[in-house]
Amino acid sequence: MGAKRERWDSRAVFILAAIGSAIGLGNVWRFPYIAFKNGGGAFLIPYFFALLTAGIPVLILEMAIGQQFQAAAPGALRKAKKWFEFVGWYAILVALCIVFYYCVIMAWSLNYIVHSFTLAWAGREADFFYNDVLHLTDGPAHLGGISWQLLISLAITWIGIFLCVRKGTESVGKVVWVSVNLPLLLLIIMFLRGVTLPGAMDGIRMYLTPDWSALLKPSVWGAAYGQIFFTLSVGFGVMSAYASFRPRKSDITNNSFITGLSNSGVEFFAGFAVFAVAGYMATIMQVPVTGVEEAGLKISGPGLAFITYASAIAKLPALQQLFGVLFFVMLFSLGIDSAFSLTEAASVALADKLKFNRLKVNIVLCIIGFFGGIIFTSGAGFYWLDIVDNWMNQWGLVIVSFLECVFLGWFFNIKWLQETIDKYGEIKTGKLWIVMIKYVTPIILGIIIVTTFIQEVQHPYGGGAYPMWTLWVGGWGLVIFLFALSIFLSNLKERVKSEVVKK
Amino acid sequence: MRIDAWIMLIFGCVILYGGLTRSLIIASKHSKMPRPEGFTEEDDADELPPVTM
Repeated sequence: MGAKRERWDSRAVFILAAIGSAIGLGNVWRFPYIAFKNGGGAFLIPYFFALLTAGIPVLILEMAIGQQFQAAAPGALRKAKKWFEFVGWYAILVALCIVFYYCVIMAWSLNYIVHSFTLAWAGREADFFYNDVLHLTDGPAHLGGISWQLLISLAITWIGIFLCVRKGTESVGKVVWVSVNLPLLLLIIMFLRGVTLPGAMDGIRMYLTPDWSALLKPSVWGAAYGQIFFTLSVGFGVMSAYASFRPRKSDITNNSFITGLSNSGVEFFAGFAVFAVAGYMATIMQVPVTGVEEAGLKISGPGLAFITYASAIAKLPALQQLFGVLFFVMLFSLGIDSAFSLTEAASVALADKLKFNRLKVNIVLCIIGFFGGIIFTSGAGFYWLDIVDNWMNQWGLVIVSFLECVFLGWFFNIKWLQETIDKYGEIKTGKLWIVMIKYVTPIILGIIIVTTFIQEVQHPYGGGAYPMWTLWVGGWGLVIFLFALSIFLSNLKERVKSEVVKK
Repeated sequence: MRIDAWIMLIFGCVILYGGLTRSLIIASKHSKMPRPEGFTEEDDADELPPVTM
């Protein structure tokens, strides 16, 4: 029998950790915009359909392999079939690359928390963000200097992550009570502030009013499936790592439903806070809400948080500093549990394979994470972040989810897994789940992969803003390197306990 | 606001309710989750029944 595995203190802690991993910055700055661009309220229909037919089934799959094989993604896939292991390592390496730049975004938030006390950005939000904070150069080829403020913030962020993960499930289990609930509380405060501003209802109306004709467009359905995969933290190995700390004979399905529905509910709710502010800004600028973007304000991505929202905060009738601090603390706390879950996924995978002490693995990972993020604190960091982010999402988690479904659905006894899930599950999945994993999800992901590839070949990312070599280095080159590294790691001999004892 | 916008608002709220409320209920009921009845510490172990194709 193997060494005794760590365990979550309670089921609630596990669910909170899974929800915390799924809920991140994308819930605030990606979903509302995607919904608005793809049919408004009508988008909820393909979105919910995608959640049930692809998101939750893959969530169940990832949690099931982690829980049943009692190992993080690479180990769990190895136990299913030896040659599956590289997929798990690829997921882990993608997760690590993402956490490198994700922490830099959190470092921006930390900077803004400090600047909130003086509202340093007031009146020149875009200029402040690009020049004073990022020290943006004219392109990715021109690295510029490193921003020391961002570097210090990055170091603080990684120290924070280390403190969260230092004792594994024991420390994470305590932190998630705050790191999940605090941003939700702050989101409610931002929502209440937003909806009581003049013009807020115009923004919310725009967010919710359905365009039913959008349901006939395949691109809208594609956007719904894309959003579901980007938002749920699947394809990173996080859910397998977290579920591996649950007893084998316990529920998987209900936990997956709760995680998926909570995440979707939060991003739907976040849309109100975002579009209320868009409506407020439109009123101040005396343009229609649909004209906010043309007027230079962004309603998605970092531009939403660090320019549009910052601008709205500066224009509040009162308590601007307080709301500035609350908003950027919310961003930071939204990010931290996603960031430490990605770190945990890698830590558990390495500790499983090499039988290293988890504390030492965490220390090394946090140091590597800090150094890996330094490039993104340079003057060209914003460009590189954009390139790497695009490739890690498009060619990282989508590929991992696709391969997991194909390998486990077609080259493994998926029926055994389904029966085991149903034996202990509070919600029975039946054969329908197998249909989703074997047919529906891989077909949809396959279509997304092929269309994205064709689009990328025809119109390289960035619309000509980035030189081709940067797309090769930060995009295709990185993906190929990670793929090769994952094959190398999967071929490494697993250390057995006796070797560890000897040393 | 149009009536269909209200309908979608209610739909979204149902999703929100479905996830958050359920997790809050579980959080309050299972602050310390005991093993299911009949299970022992051995059931947590790192062993699996054989899996065949």
